[in-house]
Amino acid sequence: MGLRAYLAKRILYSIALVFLVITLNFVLFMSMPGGPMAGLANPSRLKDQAAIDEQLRRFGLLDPPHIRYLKYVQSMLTFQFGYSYHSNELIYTEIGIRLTNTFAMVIPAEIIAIVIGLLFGVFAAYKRGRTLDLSTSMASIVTNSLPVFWVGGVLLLIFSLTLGWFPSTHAYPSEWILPGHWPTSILVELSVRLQHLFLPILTLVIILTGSYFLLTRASMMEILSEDYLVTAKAKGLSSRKVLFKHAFKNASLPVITNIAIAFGFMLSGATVTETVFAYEGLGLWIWQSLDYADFPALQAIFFLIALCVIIANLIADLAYGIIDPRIKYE
Amino acid sequence: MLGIGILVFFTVVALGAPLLTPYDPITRTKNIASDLAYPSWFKYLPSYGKPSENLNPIKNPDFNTATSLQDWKFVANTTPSPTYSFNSDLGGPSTGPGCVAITFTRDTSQQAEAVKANLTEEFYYPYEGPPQRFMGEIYVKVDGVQDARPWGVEIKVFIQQAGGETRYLWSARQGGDYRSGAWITPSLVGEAGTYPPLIDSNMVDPQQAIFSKQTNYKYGVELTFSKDVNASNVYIDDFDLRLYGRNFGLLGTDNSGRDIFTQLLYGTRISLLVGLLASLISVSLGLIIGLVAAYMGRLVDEGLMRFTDMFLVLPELPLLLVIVAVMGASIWNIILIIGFLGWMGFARTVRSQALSLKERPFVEAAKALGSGRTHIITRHILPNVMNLVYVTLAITVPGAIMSEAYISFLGLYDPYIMTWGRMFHDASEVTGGYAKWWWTIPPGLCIAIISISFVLIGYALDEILNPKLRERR
Repeated sequence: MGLRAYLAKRILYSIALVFLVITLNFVLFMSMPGGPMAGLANPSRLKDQAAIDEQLRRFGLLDPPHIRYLKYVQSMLTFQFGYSYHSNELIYTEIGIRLTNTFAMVIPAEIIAIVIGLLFGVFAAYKRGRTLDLSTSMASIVTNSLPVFWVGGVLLLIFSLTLGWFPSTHAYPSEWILPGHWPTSILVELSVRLQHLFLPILTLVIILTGSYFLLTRASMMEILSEDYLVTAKAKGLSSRKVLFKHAFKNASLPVITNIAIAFGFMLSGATVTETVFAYEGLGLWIWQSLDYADFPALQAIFFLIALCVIIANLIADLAYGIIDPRIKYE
Repeated sequence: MLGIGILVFFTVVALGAPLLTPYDPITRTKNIASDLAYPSWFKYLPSYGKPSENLNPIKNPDFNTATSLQDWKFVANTTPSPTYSFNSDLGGPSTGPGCVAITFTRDTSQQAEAVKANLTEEFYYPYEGPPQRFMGEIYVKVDGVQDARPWGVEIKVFIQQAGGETRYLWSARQGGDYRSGAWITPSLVGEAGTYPPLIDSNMVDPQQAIFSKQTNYKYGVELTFSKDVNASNVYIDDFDLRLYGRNFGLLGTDNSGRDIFTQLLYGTRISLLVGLLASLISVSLGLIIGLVAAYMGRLVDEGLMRFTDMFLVLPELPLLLVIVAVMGASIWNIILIIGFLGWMGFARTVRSQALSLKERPFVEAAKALGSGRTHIITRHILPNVMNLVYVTLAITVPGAIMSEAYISFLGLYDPYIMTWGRMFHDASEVTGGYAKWWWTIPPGLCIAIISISFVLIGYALDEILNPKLRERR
């Protein structure tokens, strides 16, 4: 069929998936107990029906279901998420803040984990059975099985509560919210943020490296038994060149698809870490919105996450198709 | 590797089994110990400070038999003095028949004045530090005082330190303007922030002030018969004092006084249950869907694969959170939901495996012989896929256990079940909870160990069943 047609088909398919997810979201939140009004009106504050109706109208809840659905679809697609029930502010701005926070935490962590995992994975597969392999494999299996909140909690305990090296909660000190307290110099802001970021990133790196390592290692081990590598070595290429240029390139396929998919889940994957550190990111927001029954926020978050995952999957599929010429597109 | 895997696994199972003989039967009995107690073995640590442990100094609080009166000392200041005896008919509502009866009959020839009597028991407090909390209990019933004005008998419960102060925990008046005739039982709890009514309200830590020395203490009740009373009976039952120390148990207690070690052991059962059941559901679903997709023709295949993709795209944790919040957090719901969200990967794997098997000669031969589709699937394909099933089962269990732990940690736990994730949640709710490492470290460690054991088993299985991964000899 060819690459272009495959691309087109996958993109169309992803768009369909987006619509499906929007609908699913809509249905899901319609059926939440208490209905969409649950987190909205404080009965003691809204004394008369007119005020209630005004609130309903403002949040677009007065229309019949099918009109609501269409409006919902439209708002999702144009990224106009409306106002949060809880803070009465535009969800858009809140998303900006939270997303930045989460990205600041997850992206560096993923990158570090990938680099360490891949490097060690390659070498472990190469020196198979020897100390390097066994020790790193064991370590990876262990860290992969550690629950996230436990690692976070232990790190918090040791480095923050006992040693006092790092602050224990939030993305930035709470005093910054007060007017005039936000640091004017970008360097100061960055350095303090980094301090707050260090432990969460460390937690994530510990958790994530293991699976990258194991995947790379397994993948490499399959490749290393191939004969063309013997040929390459016989040709006189250095071990390192053989390892990276030939073996790893071919072994990298499942790894790359995994990385792409991981980026898709990265928004939600940090939820537990964020909860442990009370770090104001997207994951914690989900939890808080659930607590407040803040439906617009929840809908927006779910939509974003699903969007992220769909896009990431799309990229993974495309990468898969491009990198490996053996794949036939059906 | 295999050895390690099975060894760890057996340790885990061994942990789980002895729970069927409940160690401490309920995971949530209050009043076993004080809240946030340190583990018992802490007293061996040099920098710990003054320890104290649980003490139930009153030997026979229930007064169920006549001999129980031997420990008590009765003192009265007049002659003829009130008498005390064992009454086997009456009893406080909670402990059944048998109580102490103190009978007072005034000698009307003498001038009427107030008469006091004491019933005490002495005990030795052996610990260097004060208890974290003490709880007294008493059931008192007075009769014969209806006509006395303004009151007939005054009852005071006290603790007296040998050579030190007497602290009154409670007092009440019976008769006349104050009611009488029924069993009354006051609350006599003393701990930081809560104190019995008669203790100085400026005192911050009553238990510390009262039990400040390692010495003898007297716990008792003081009765005052007013001058207006001529004859009266006072019945006392269930007269107890319990001291809760700072140390308790192998791993201390959590913020509600529950033994952490018990929680840990009970958590094993739940984790194994959730892990195994949920992954069983996932793997079965994946198996069925994968096989059906591979065998039922193009359309069904496409449809099922799109269906799978749709589920893959939904982020697991948020969806888990929302669904559990909606459907209620019972342990079976949790198991079901985790199971229903975990089959996708396996379905894909099974499908591709089945598809490749479909092209193999032996299947073609079977078809040529006229076997129906179901027969081929069940008799030929399925056994060849079983290897995959076992390995995936082993690998999926830790994932399920983790998912359950995460949900519990975030707060959506079954309120009747204590799981390791929930222990962590409780720790995170208490300020400074993380710092109590004997509380936070064990549950996570257990989760990790169980997960590791399953992963090792999975790897071992994989190595056995997948020839490509074997070492080159």
